Amino acid sequence: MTLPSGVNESAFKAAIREFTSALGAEQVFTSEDDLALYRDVYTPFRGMPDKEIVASAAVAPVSVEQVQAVVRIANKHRVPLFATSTGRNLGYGGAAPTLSGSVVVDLKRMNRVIEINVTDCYAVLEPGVSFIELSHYLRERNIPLLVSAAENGAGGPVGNSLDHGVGFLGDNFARVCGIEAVLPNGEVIRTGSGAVSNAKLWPVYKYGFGPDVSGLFPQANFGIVTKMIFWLEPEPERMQGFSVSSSKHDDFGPMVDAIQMLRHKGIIRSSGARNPLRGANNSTVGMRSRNIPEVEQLLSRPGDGAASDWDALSIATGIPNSAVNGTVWGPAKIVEATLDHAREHFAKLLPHATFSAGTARDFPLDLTTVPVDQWVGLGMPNLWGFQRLANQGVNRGHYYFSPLFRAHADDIFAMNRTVRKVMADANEPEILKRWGWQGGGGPFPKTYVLYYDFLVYDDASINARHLKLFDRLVKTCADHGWAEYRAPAAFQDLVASVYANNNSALRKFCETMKDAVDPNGILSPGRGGIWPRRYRKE
Amino acid sequence: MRASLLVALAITASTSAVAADASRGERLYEQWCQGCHDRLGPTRETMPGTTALANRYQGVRPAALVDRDDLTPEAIKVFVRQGISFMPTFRKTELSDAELDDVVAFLVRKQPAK
Repeated sequence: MTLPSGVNESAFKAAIREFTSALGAEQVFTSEDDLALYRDVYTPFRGMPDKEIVASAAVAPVSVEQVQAVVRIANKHRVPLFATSTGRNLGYGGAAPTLSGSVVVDLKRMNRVIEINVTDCYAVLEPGVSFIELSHYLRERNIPLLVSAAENGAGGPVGNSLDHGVGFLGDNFARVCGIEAVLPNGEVIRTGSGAVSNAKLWPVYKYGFGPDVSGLFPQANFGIVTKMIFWLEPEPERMQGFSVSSSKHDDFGPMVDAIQMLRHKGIIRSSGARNPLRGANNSTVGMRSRNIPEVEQLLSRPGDGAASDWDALSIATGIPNSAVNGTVWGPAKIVEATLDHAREHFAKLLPHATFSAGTARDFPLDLTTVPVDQWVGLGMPNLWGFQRLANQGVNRGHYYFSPLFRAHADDIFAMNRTVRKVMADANEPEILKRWGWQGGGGPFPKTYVLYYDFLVYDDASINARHLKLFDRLVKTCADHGWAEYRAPAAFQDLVASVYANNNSALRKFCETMKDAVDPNGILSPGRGGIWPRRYRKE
Repeated sequence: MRASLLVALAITASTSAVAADASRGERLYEQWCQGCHDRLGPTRETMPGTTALANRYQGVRPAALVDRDDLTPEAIKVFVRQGISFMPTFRKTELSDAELDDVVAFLVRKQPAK
C-alpha cells in the first residue's frame, strides 16, 4: 500500500478506523485486490510501477452526511481524498486519484435520480448515475427527454460535466444549473439559486445573485459534488444530419466559414469539418486507414502539397478534399425547411459542391432498427464507442490528447502542420501515420476540438516514448496558442502550466483560494493542476 | 496475491455460484456486460467485446458470452476484477461480489453438470 505523502502510518490507520466506524466495513476498501480496482486501467504509465498513481484506500459513502463525515475525518488526520463519481472517465484517468496515496471517495453508490421534471426539462441527480442508467430511467417511464450522453455511456452527467466533458448535445457543463457540494470543511453549499432558502428557482436559473461559484467545481478541488441540476433536452420529432463535400482543396475555407455561420445563427445544432482526402490514411480513434501512398507523399512535401496536386488526386480517387457536416433537429417540417435552406446556401456559395442529407430519424426511436454505432449521436447512450479500441489490435486502452483550435480552415491547417512536425521530429512514424491529417468537430459552439488517442501497450518503453511526445505536443501547441480543454490526471500539471499568462496569475489565484478553502489540503490535491500549500512545489 | 489469469482459466467450474440467482444475474449481465458482449446482428455488426473475442477465437469458440458453455466462475471473476486487453476492471461499488456471483450463475447456466 502507498501511504499518502505527509501522513504517517498511525494517522492513516486511525483515519481508516474512523471511516469504517462512520460508513461500515463494507464501504471501506483497503485490500490489495480492492485497491487494484482504483488504478487507472488505461494508465499512460503502464509498466512503470514507480510512476503509476495509486490509491491507499477507497471509501464509498451513500449519503451527503456520510460524505461530510469522510471529509471531517480526513481533515482531522490530514489524509488526502480524491472524489470520483462513476469512476468511468476512461482515457482521462478513470477512478484513480491525482496524488498517489489519496483515499478515493467513490460516489458510485450515490446513484439516485432524485427528480425528473418534464415541464422544465431537467434532472436532479446524484453523482453515481451513469448516462445509460439515466437513459433507461427515462425510457422505462416513457419520459420524452434526452440526456446529452458522452460516447462512454458508463460515465455520467455529473462526472462528465465536472471534467468539462461533452455529450452529443455539446458542452455538458453548460447544461448544469446548480450544484450541491460538500466543502473541504464539511459544510454543504448550494450554488446559484440553490442558495435561496426556498430554492424554487434552483433548477431553472443558474446565476442566483452574486458570483456564480459553480465554475469552481469542474477540473478543480474545492468541494465534493453530491447533487447536480442537469438540463435535459426534449425529444425532437426528427433529427437529421447533412454533409457538403467538394473535390476542390480551396473550397475548405469558405465551407468551414459557412457551416460555422449556420451554427452561430442557431440554425444547426452541431458542426464539423474534415479534409477526407488528406485524412484518408488516418487510423486514430478506430478509423481504418485507406493506405493511399499518394496521400502520404503529398503530406510529406514541404507545405504539404499544392492545391492543384490535391485537386488532381481527389479526381483520381473520388475522395473529396473538403467536407463539412451539420445536424438539425426539431419538428419534421422545420428540419425539412432547414435542410432546404442549408442546401440553397451552399449551392449559391459553392455550386459544384455536393449536398447530402443523412437518414431522417423520427422519435420515439425504435432502437431495434437503429445500428448501435448511431445510438449516441441520437441521444441513446451505450458502450459501442469501445469498438474504436477493438479496431486497433492488441492494446490496453488509450488516453487522449485533445487540443482546441479556432473553427477556421487556416487554424486546422496550421495545427496539422505543427503536430505533424512534432511527431516527425520525435521520429515517431507510426504515430504520424495514425494521425494522418485531422479535421475538427464542434461540441463547443465556437471552437473545434480533436481527439488523438494514444494507445497504451504492455511495452513500457513505447508508453514512455508516448509520454515524452505528449509533453512536446502540449508545449508546442501552446506556443501557437492552442491548449487542451481536458487532460488525463498524469498530464494535468503539464496542461495547467500552459495557462500561464501574466506570470501564471490564474494558477496563483486558484492556489490562494485553495489554501483558504482547504487549509489542510485534503481535497483532491493536484486536480486541475491546483495543489494545496502542503503539496506545492514552490 | 492476486490470482493469475492463467491459473484461473485452468480451474474448472466450481459450485461457488450455487446460491446465486441466475435470473438476477441476467439483468446484471444486461446492465454491465451486454453493452460490449452482445451477440452480433443486423443492427450490431460490431460490438467491442464480441468483436475482440471473435478476432481472438477465429471461430473456435463462440464470440458472444451468452453462447459459451465453457466459461468458469473463476475466469469470469478474474476478467471482471482484473480486466483484460482494453476491457476495464469493475469496482465493487458497481458490481458487488454477490452480484458478480449472480452474473456468474447466469453465464455458466449452459455448462454440462459436473
